[in-house]
Amino acid sequence: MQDHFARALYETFPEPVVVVDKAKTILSVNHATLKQFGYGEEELLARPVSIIYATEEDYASCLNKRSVDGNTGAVSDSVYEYKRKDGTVFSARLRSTLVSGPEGENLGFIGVIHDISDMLKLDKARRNARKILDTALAAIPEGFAIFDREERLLVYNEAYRRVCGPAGPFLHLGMTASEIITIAYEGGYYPDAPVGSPVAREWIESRLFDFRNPTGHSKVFPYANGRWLRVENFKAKDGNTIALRVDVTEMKQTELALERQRQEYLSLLQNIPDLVGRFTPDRQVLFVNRNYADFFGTTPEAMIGTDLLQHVPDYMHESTRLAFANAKPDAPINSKAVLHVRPGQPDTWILWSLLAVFDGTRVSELISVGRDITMQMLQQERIARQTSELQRKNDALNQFTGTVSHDLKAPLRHIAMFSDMINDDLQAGNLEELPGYAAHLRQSARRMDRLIESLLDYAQIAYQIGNWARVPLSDAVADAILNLDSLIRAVDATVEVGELPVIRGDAELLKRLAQNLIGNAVKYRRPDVKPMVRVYGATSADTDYLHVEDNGIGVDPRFAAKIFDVFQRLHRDESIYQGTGIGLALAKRIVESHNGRIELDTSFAEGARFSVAFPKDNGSGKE
Amino acid sequence: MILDSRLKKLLVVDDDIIDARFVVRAFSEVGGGLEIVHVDDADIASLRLTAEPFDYVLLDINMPGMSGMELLKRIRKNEKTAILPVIMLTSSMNPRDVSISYACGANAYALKPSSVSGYRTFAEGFTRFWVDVAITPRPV
Repeated sequence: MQDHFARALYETFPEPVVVVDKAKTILSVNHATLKQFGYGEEELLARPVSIIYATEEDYASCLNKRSVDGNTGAVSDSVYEYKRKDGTVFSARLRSTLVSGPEGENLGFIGVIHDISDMLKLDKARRNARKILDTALAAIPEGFAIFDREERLLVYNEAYRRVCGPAGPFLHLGMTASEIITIAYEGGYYPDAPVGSPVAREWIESRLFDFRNPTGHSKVFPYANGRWLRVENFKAKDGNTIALRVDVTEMKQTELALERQRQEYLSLLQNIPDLVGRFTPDRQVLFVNRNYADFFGTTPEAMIGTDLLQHVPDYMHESTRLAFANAKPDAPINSKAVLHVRPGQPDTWILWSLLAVFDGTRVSELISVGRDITMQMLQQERIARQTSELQRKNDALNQFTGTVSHDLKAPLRHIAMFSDMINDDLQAGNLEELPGYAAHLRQSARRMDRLIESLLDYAQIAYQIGNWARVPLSDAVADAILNLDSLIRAVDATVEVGELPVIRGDAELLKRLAQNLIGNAVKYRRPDVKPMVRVYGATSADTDYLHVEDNGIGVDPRFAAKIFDVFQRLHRDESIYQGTGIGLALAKRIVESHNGRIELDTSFAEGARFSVAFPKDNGSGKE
Repeated sequence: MILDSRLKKLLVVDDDIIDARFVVRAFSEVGGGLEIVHVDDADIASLRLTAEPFDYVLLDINMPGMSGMELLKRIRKNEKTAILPVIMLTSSMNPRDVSISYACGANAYALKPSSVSGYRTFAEGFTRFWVDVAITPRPV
């Protein structure tokens, strides 16, 4: 009964079973054997078992195996290559069982052949996959390593070994993260933590902390010799830690170069004398350089993020607001020169340019640049002033030469003609008129002399004053009155002197100015009225005034300008009002050399009133 | 030729009394049959011209008060004297004065002579041309 069951098991056993005798001759094979090897039963029975082995070597090693093992166990287990009838080969694990007789003698073996070629194929695939992965890991430039929960190294690639620097040669599986860091540190691998420095301990701790508490964010720090490393740690689901180490030196250098460039541009912006600012379309300050902030008496830090209008002075509010509001694509640059008058600061001309940057038709940003053009403006003003001064001098010269030639020629002409007359009369023997002609000759010569004297006087007043000084006009007037004393007495004139300002100018010239004006006031009196002259001053924010008025015959308003020209007289009869007509021309020249103005006040009807205006800033400081 | 038996009238406007005397003297020596009136002020001349008819004006430029040039403009502006012959007699050799004078309607421009014979030549020339040759409008 039991035999029957054993027989059934043997016959239906899914794996090939081969029974051999002591001489290694096949005694029996089961059904699975026939199926596995492709033989018919009669082809195997009584044949040496070697025929099912793939090679002599496999068979030999199988025999060997048992002898090497020393025959101690009844069961042996090994893998060999077998060969089917059709010559194909497969690997199988042979489990051979020694069968002993009642006296312990060797009867033979029962071999169970377990085909493992599928398993081997699988294993090969697995090995292959592992090899591919290893090759890939070795190929990538990023350092890659896996540590287990106890921070022991499980996997790493060649790149990881490289970035471990001094720890690289010692790297082995099972090494802890802490050991790796320590060896690398001791090798002087971390510039941030020099060996033996007080910060080293803390630095290593922080590295380990990062390793133990991965955030998924990378950190970049210097390592090796001037290189940069990006460190990323990830926690895997199985509790392992994945470490990624990437050399980012090139990236970092690019970044550093960019930062350096940015710093250079910034320093350029900070160091140029111009005022530079960047703003949002609603005037929020994005950036201003120091000069910009300085100009408005604040700092870049205080301005950034605020509305520009908070910082500009009141008089610029509206223009600034409009300039920002009116930026248009067809006129992206808006420039305007503005004179800034600030207390405690010199007046400054700034050429403001507002440049709008457009994103399509929408303003995305505004750039304001202010340039100090005070020097240029002053130069322009000076040139304009010099040009008009030159024009005025040219006109004056033209008028002067015209008048001088006319007025000097008249007495000369008269002298020539009276000489003719004298000559004619002498030839005719007519002596009666001769004394009269001779008197005319003398008169003409004297007039000529006076004219030349006047001209010399006039010519001697320089347009440019050499010695500027503070001159109290009251002194100039007092001196003038003293010089005019005899004239004043002769006509019994009253000269009333009021408050007078102190101005910058030339004392001698100002005395002559006063003398001319007061002299005229006394001279052109009404025959029946006692002359009364009033001299007084006034002063405003930027100008000092000198007024001289009289109760005399006055001046026809039509000739208000003409009277200041050389040799212009309103009165032809020199027997009543003597003079060459140089007085007011001289006065005008003196006033102009003080950069002032003189005019006849035509609104004053009771006599003549001359008003002289001296600007307080008359250029005496600069020129 | 239209015979005009009326004595022609010349207004001499010059602030220089001596020059004016020489002018009057030269014309009287030439004997052109002219009635000469001298005024030394342009304003007065202007008044005289509106008050009485003159045939010619001899006009100086540089004068105190209103200048000869101003008076010339005023003469031309006034309907009554708009076409009255005006001859400038001045010491100015300035080309600007010459061109401005003609531009303002002067009929001639002459320089003041500096000799007695010069004045005589001027008076002769003036009389021969303006009195004997030229036909001038009737003064109103």
